[in-house]
Amino acid sequence: MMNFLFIMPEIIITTSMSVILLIDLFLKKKNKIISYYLIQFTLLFLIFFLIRNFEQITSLNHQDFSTDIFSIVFKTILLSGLIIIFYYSYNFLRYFKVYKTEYFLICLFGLLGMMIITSAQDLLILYLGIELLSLSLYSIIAYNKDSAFSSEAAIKYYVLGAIASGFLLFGISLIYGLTGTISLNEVFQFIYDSGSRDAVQNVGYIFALTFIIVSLGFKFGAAPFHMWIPDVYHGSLLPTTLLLSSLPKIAVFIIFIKLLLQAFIGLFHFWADMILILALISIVIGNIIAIVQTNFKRMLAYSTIANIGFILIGISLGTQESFTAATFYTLSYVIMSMAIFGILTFITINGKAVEEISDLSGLNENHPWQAFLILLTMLSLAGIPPLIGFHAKLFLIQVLVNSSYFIIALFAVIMTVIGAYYYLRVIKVIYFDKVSTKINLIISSLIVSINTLLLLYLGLFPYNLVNLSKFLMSGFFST
Amino acid sequence: MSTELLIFIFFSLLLVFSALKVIIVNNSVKAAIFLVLSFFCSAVLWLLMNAEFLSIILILVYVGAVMVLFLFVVMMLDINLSNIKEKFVNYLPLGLFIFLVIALLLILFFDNQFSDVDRNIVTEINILNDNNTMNLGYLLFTEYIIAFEIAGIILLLGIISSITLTQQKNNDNKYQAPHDQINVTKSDRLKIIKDEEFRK
Repeated sequence: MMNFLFIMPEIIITTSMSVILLIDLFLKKKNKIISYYLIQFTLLFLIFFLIRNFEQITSLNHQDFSTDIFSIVFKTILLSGLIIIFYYSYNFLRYFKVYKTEYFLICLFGLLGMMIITSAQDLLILYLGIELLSLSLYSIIAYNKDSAFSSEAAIKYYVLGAIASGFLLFGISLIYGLTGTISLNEVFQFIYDSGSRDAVQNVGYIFALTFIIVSLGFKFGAAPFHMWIPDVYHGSLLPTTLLLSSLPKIAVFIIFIKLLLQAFIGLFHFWADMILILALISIVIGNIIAIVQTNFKRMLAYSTIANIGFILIGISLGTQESFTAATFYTLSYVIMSMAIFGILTFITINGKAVEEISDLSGLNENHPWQAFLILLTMLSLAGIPPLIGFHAKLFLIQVLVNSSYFIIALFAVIMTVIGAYYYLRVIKVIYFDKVSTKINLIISSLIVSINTLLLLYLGLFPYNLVNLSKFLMSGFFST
Repeated sequence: MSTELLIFIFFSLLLVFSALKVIIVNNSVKAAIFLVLSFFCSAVLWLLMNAEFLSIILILVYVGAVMVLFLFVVMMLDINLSNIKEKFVNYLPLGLFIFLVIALLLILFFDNQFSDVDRNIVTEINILNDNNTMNLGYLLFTEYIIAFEIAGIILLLGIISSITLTQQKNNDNKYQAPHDQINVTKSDRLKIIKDEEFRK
């Protein structure tokens, strides 16, 4: 009898998805809330399950599907993030009468893909996890069928995403051809044993790595491959944007760790420069183009690109400190983007969802608390102490200075200052402009307040999150 | 020269020819049929490598199912490709440049990276002492079971999302409602108006 405990969370989630799908068919329209609660209960149960069986699961050792502390901690983070996202999304979708249980089920498939990514020890399983995640994202982007923007964004993302997946698969097949294995550890061992550091002898690896990095850059939204991000953020519903800007970023970051750190660390000299170029272009394009945006979601899309550039800088240095800083940056960015999009899902402008920045003008007059929450997230994104965004940028720049990349550090600081402009403009619109629209709140903002105040709390006491990031990365550098 | 090599040369040349034709030919239906031909040729190449299961799957799935559907779609759409063709010459130098760079890299790549090209990985994997199909099935359900199941879940997601996206009811869609149509009464359809003016 085989022990299935190592894949039990995935089995539980697949089973409950199928069961909820069936139950939902027989529910009346006004009782659909039952399936929403069932989904939330499943996620809570999974977190409970993971924590309860932590010792037992982490002691298992399966060669294709790792259940080490790294993957379990990330799974817990993803699950708890999704619970909050579902809470925001449910209220929004219910209010605008576009709620369907299938929306959440498709998101759960995406979660399953992300969980597979965190556990994958094998290029094939990693690829399938990425496909599961992307396919679910394509469908929820196209979900808003009434908007032509949404369909355009979905088609664009789908076609480009399919090409990117093809590139990834081509790169993986070349790696398989060169090393004869698809297991990450064996690929690492093969490269380590072959030993040569000559570019001509490694041309095959460089060729394969280029394809893999192009595809990952696309999935992450790094600069030369960023064209889909603004359209998709703009076109899709706010809950979709909320989901898209948060959890998949963690997942893609994990893919970067798995591929570059676990498998191809022997080829560090070849991929470091590629990633660094992507990072610098992302920071420039994200920060400069965001200045001229008037649409709130588009502006946040370009800010995402800039933030991804910062994460990629951390990846490109390839040391333990830099990866710790990148992990810290990713986690804090996810909390920030959940907070800002979470606030936006609660606000309606003349009965519609928030679109333009000017929609929010004079928010302070009628809803001072919500205005204060937006102020906090914007200051955090701009990197102003004592909020968490400041520490995230500080650690990264500290690592850059420690590795004596002074020019890049200076460049990052200048770009941060340029980026502060468009974040502060939102604050100006909220606090100093005249009221021009009728702004309503969908429901009370208790959870989103907690989410936003977390930015302040973690900014004042960042050491828990720092220690977590250090702990997560330590496993990859111990040998 | 052995027969195997002759067959290989014939079908690989045909494959390259038909693949080129797919992008060159003006008529999109013809392009789709050339794509079928190129699938067929690659199936023969698979067969030469003793991978009979993969070659039959290629013909059954791609030629039999996917391309037929694709042909239906192509025949129903009315696409005028002449607009795209006009810019072909403008992009030709850039395209040729990229083609040459990638071709050079590939030549360099295959020249010194693969040391043992004569290995046939398909015949090497022989666990059950049986044909390729048996081995493949055995491997899929033992070593690669997790990947196999995930592929199944991806298909389930495909079904669910396509149904969700197409089943949303649009208000401007016209569809029949038999129940309402049968249960109409006389007063629903016919309205009797008393016209006082007419009587006078």
